[in-house]
Amino acid sequence: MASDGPTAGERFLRGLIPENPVYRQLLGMCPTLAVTGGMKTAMTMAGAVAFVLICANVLTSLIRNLLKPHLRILVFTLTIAAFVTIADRVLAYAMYDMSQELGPYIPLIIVNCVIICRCEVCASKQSVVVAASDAAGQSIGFAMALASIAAVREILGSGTFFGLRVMPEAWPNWGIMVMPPGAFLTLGLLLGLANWIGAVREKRSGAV
Amino acid sequence: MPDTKKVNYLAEAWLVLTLAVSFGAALAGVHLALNDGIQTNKRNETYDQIPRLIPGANKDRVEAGAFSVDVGGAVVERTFYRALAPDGKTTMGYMLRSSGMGYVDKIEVLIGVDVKVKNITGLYVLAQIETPGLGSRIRTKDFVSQFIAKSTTRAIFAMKTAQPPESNDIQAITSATISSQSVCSIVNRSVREFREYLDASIQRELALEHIPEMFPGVSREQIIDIPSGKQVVYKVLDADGRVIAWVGDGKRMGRWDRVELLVAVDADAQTITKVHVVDQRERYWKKVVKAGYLDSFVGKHAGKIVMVKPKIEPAEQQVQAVTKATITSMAICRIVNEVVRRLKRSVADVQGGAAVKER
Repeated sequence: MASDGPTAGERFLRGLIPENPVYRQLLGMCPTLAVTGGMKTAMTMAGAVAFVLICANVLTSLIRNLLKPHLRILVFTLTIAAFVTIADRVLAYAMYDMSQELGPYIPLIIVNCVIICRCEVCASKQSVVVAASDAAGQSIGFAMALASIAAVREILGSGTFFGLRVMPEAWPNWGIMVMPPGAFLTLGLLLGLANWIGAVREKRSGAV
Repeated sequence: MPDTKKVNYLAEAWLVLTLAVSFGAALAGVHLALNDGIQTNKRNETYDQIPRLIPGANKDRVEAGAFSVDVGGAVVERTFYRALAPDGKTTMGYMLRSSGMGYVDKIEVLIGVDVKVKNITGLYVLAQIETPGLGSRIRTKDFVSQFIAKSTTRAIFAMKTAQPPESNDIQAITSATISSQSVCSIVNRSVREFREYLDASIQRELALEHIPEMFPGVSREQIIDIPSGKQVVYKVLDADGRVIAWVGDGKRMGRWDRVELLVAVDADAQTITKVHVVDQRERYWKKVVKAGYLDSFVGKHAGKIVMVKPKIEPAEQQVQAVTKATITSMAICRIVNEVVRRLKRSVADVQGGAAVKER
């Protein structure tokens, strides 16, 4: 397996915006829609995904020369499942209430396409440093996406941000925003906004 | 060449096998290191609910217990928690831990009930993975607060429309009727199981609470339990340790609900000395009290007593039914006869039969 490809810095930066897992790759939609009703749950999920993604990428990169092509997906899944179980147990130990609130969505990180995608695209082909940078960039990008959606939903739906009141008492909470339709609406609008900004920037750079 | 193929499979899968074993060991280590803390968190979550589900209770004064029930041939253990008053003896209420199937998966709940297990005092959903935004709303305060003060003597159902406060039913969550009804079913079943289990011990607790009212000046220490088959009779002693009465409890359906009484006979089990009400919800109970129906048993010989119609003058071993409360009167009469029969048998067992010979 070759180690050619983007450098560690490039991988990191790409994960933030140009290859943002949610807004550009449309991956990891399950937690994006399910746990963005509030900032606390969204950031806990982002943290858990970051832990699993970084660990899985680093380990996969370390064993990349031993991987058999037809067994690689099995190895990725095994690796991801192990780290997800650890994350789940640590949350239940250290943040029990949050663990209860997130319910099945922490175990469901196992099937989060962002992680298996990064193992396949980067970690199984590049060095540990590049794989770790890639995981860090993608994790931050994923956290930014979750934070943007959760912020809109929590502020409009509950009038709070991280549980603290930011809207006036008279604010009529938009109940739909904390419900599943609110997640789809917010994601759709923010996705459209991201595309529009991308298109405008592309147009400007083309004009130059 | 099957053998060679096997060797090849192993050669190819060695990495997967090694990783599986390594991850297994790592997860075992994580489990060993964190499991105690996780169990403590779970325990704390349960105990933290005690003051919310049992009004006035303190989570530091709790006794945990368990009982077994037969579910479709399988023996299942149920856990309950008894909240104690500051004196450390009196029960303030119970919290039951139970579970059952919801729409998606198992729902685990904590149910607070009063000391007589007659009313629900609170409900908390410990664990559920119902549909987010729909069934998951069974955790919300709006839903669980509907169960507070509901009677446990009748089943609770989840209805699609808003229920009046006097109804024993609750309003289901819109688009989550199955989850809502599942919670009702878990509550109904759990409380029934617990009532059946506790019947004997609740009776004892109630008896110990009411006997001093029947015999002023008698303390709990002067009341001795005597097992009588599956039930218990109580020997009441005076300050010098002499038997002053034998008391037994009995219950039976009246016209509207269960009537529970304590009946006392004298030390020789020859005369009925007191009939005391433990619990009743009869509509015309005031008529029963006003007519002095309970007192009409006092002084009668501890043998069979017959109830006669309201207009018939009662003979020596007869009592007169109360107008408009005939069914209640009949239930009381039957309870007294049952308890007296049991008391005589128990006293005979204890005293070798000498004390209960007919005069």
